[in-house]
Amino acid sequence: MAKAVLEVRNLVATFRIDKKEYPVLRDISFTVHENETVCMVGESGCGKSVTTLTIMDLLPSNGRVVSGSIKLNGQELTTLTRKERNALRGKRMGMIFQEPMTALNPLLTIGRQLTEGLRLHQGMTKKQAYDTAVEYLEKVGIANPQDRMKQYPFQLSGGLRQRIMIAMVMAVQPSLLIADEPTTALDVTIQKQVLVLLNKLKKDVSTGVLFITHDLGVVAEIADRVVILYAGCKVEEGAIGEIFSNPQHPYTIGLMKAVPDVEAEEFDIQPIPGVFPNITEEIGGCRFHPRCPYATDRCRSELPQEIEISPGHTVSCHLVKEAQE
Amino acid sequence: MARSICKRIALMFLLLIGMSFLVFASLYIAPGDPASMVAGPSATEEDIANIRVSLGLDKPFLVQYFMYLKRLVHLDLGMSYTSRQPILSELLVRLPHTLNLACAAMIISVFLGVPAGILTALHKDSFIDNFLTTSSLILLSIPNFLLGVILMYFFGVKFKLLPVGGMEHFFWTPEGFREAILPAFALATGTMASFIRLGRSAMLDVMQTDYIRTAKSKGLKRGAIIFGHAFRNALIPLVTQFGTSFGGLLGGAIITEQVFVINGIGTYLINGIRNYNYPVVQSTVLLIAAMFILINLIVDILYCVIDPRIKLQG
Amino acid sequence: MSGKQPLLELKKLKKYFPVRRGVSIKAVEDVTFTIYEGEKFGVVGESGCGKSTLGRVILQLYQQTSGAAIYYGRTLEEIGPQYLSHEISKLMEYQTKANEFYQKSLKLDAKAEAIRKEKDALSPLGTTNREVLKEIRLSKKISDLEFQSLELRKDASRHLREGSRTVGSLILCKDLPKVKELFEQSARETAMATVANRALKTLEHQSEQLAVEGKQDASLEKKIEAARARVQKHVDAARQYRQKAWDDYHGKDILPLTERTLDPEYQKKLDGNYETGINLGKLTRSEMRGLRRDMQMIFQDPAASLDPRQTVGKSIEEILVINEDLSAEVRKERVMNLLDEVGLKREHYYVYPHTLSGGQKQRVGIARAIALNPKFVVLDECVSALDVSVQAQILQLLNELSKEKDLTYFFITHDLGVVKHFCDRIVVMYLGNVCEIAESKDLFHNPMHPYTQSLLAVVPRMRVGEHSTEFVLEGDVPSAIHPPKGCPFHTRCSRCMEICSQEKPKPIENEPGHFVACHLYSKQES
Repeated sequence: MAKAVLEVRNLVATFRIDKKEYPVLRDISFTVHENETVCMVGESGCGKSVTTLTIMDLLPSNGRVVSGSIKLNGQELTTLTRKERNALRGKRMGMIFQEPMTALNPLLTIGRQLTEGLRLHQGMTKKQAYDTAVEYLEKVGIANPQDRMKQYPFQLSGGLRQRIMIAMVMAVQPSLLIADEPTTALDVTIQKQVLVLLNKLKKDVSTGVLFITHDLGVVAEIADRVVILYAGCKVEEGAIGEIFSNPQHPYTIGLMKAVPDVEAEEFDIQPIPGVFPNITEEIGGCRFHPRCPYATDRCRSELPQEIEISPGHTVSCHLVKEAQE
Repeated sequence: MARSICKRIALMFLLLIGMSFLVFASLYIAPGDPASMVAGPSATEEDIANIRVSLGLDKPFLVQYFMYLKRLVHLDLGMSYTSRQPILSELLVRLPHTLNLACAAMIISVFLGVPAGILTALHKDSFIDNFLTTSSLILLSIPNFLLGVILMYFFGVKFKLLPVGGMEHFFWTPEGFREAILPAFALATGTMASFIRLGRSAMLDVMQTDYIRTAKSKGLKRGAIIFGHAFRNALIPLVTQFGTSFGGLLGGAIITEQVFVINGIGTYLINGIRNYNYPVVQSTVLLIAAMFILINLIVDILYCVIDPRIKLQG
Repeated sequence: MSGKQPLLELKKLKKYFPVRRGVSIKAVEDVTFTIYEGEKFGVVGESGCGKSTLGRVILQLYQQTSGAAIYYGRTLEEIGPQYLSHEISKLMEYQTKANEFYQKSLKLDAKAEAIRKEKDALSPLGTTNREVLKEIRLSKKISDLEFQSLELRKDASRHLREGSRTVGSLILCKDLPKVKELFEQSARETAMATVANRALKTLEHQSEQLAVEGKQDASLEKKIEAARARVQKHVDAARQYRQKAWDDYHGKDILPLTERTLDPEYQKKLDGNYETGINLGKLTRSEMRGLRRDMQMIFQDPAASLDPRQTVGKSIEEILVINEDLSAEVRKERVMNLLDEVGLKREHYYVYPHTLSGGQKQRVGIARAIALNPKFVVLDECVSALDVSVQAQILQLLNELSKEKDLTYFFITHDLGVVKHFCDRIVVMYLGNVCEIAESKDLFHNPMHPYTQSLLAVVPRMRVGEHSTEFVLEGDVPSAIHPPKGCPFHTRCSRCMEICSQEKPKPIENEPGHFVACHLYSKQES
């Protein structure tokens, strides 16, 4: 078994809105191993981005971790001071964001932004940092890296900027790479380029990747394991093959049927009825029951426990549990 | 970039010509006969008529304007009706006083206002933020002549800490520094307050952008984030403010000069208006306009220095 | 495709956005296709391919640079656009001008001929310098004259072409004044129809008002019947006058205006120019405003297009206030019905947009778009901002509405999965150009254009396992300010040939209903 890079256990986080605390992450647990890509999937508001911000300690000022543990390479993060966590950020874990157009500082050259982290975390000299940065630009498939180092972000296309973000993060050789919807803002042809690149890089370095996306097609292409979130709860987790061939949770199944896949024939997409709950909304029992076609009284009153139906494949659903019994 | 600056300079000259026309026209239609002003109270009708001809005042409006423009090109601003001296040399004597005051005030507002604004942004909702934003509001609403009188009374008359009026030395000399403190502060408060408020909002905006989040995710230290990444971006709106507020400072200087008895172009202008001294008024207004336009040219060049998007795309 | 009525025809539509002098963004280039009634027509492409611009140009939110968008949802008789009477009044001018230009060009030809004779008379091998110089001078004169003559001929046929937009090949007719008179009569009837139509509208509103109040008035119904008949009478008369002109003069007494006019092929071509629909780009502002009820748009970001300080009900009502003269009760009743139709609750009438979810906001957007019973709706990335489960709900709703209300959709998207499941026919665009047009099934089973092929290859699929890296495009889309010469895609195409960088391929119908603009296929043709 590969070494665990990131272990998240029973994470609970809240947001304060109008002086009231609302939970946004409800008891989330998962693990990312070396050389593994874990995809976290869910619709907007499900808590997938909050999870990454919690791990990076970048929560907005009204967000707070209530309980749970986050371990990076075995080191507990939640008990560290701000300064200590800041020192780990960028060095042991790096992050790529959704919007390549705004994620780079418009007034600084690419070179400056690339070498900054290297000089801080690796104690490199200017020259060493420059050489490393150029090397990584080549690695992410950018032609004429020396020229690029002198350019400003506005002179580059979205796809190039996202490659530069990847180079920037990977150059520091972190053990964990967090990618928050890194291809959502890109066109399909560019998205494919970036996905191919990420897959290639993963083979080269022993980094664990936590990949956030809402697109199941992208998941199928890049994930080793999948974590599915719904309204702040983890509903299902499993190896990629398991989830796609044998989805168990009604939400996972619904999600799969709602995706318009280019391979499928005819007009066969089926929506999940109802509305996604707001975080201020109080729902008793299973968070999914108002939209679940199979909901029973038990679902309305009792929060389902996570059960393992096959090695590595866990589901939180009363119905699956009853069927098992 | 060079092309866009050349364009700006050409535009600057056009603006100046437009400005000269406006100034000339507004004084042309103003009441009062300059010829009789020049001649003085004891002159006969004939004298006045002679003077009118010799000044070219009998010619049609446009001809007069072009004569005026031609003289302008040769830096001949005409004679002052009252002192019979060339206006240019009179202005050149007074201009340093005004610039001395305005620059001292600008330095105070930029070097106190901008850091204070950034400080409030970084400590949003803290005591210091509330204190500074509230006091900046008060400072904004006090007219500077009133503040000047109050300052003069307390620091000059009551405690005798600083000179009451006059500014004879440049502010970087020891005497000049003491002289400059009161008038410069009186003049600077409004501009400083606007720099505090704008600096605060600019910094707050920048701190919420994606690239600052990227910088944070790289684990950069707070200082490196603020000075390496945020500051230059926050400067862009401040530079615009710098250009516009300089005009305000020049306008304010006219009043402040009166309060503190400083012999600058403001005093010169007001005396000119009082005495129907048309050429003086024309030239002073034109000079102020020219300085304002020049400052805005400098602002445009500053933009190019700060923002590579402007520099490289022209 | 026969049996289907065309609703909208785009002819060489072009849209350039000027950046500064001499430089413009070429957003849409020579787009030609037809959208049929009741169709769900999809437009796919990456960002910057001009798909959104195209949608807006069709709705005349942007003025087109050149080309035409012809709308067939209403007849010319119903609308009676001003440009038509203007064009009718210019018919004689077109014909005489064409004739004039042609005669001039003939004179020039004669002159050139005379000079040529003079030149031929010179000894074939010029012996003296003077003779050689003279020969050169004469040759230059001939070519100058020939050039001028050609230009004049072009002008002549341009005039004929302009005229043929209004009357087809009748522009060549000897009895053009009579034709013109008939068309003028038709235009007069049309104007009367418009007036009658306005009266009818008022009556209908009255009747609706009564219906809401729960009353009935038999005499009003009769009046409405009469008014409707009156409108129909004028419309029919207008059509008959045009038909009469066509029957009496088509193909007869052709003036030999130019050497081509007697050629039946040329006449057919002129007939092809005959616009039986409404040229949207030529309408006046107020005429277009009137037509806008037929043509609506739904935007990507429903939140941004709703006023946060206005209740949902009010913001839907607004469009009725502007376009229909209805009493408050009738309006409210209509809005309530609309809320039902788009799957919202009646309570939503009173709530503010911020309390709605993204999907619900988009439903409000749809309600607003269908409030005036449009025929044609442009959907600009209208499900792209939604989560998949909700996206499927909205697509289902749109599908049902199109069947119930006979809507025609112009569905703009970057998502190939959505377009495959939702649309009947699809056009693929790249850098403002049409690459391929085909029925949805054909396009996905048999993509022909290399760009379509690579698009399909890189779309993420719901399938675990091997993902091919074949067809992965290198680099980025080129700039639309300086698009590549020849085929716009040749810089990234894996099957690029020599001709591709020289000549822009024209869309050809490679299989029935399957058009593709690529030299790989034009070679097979020839």
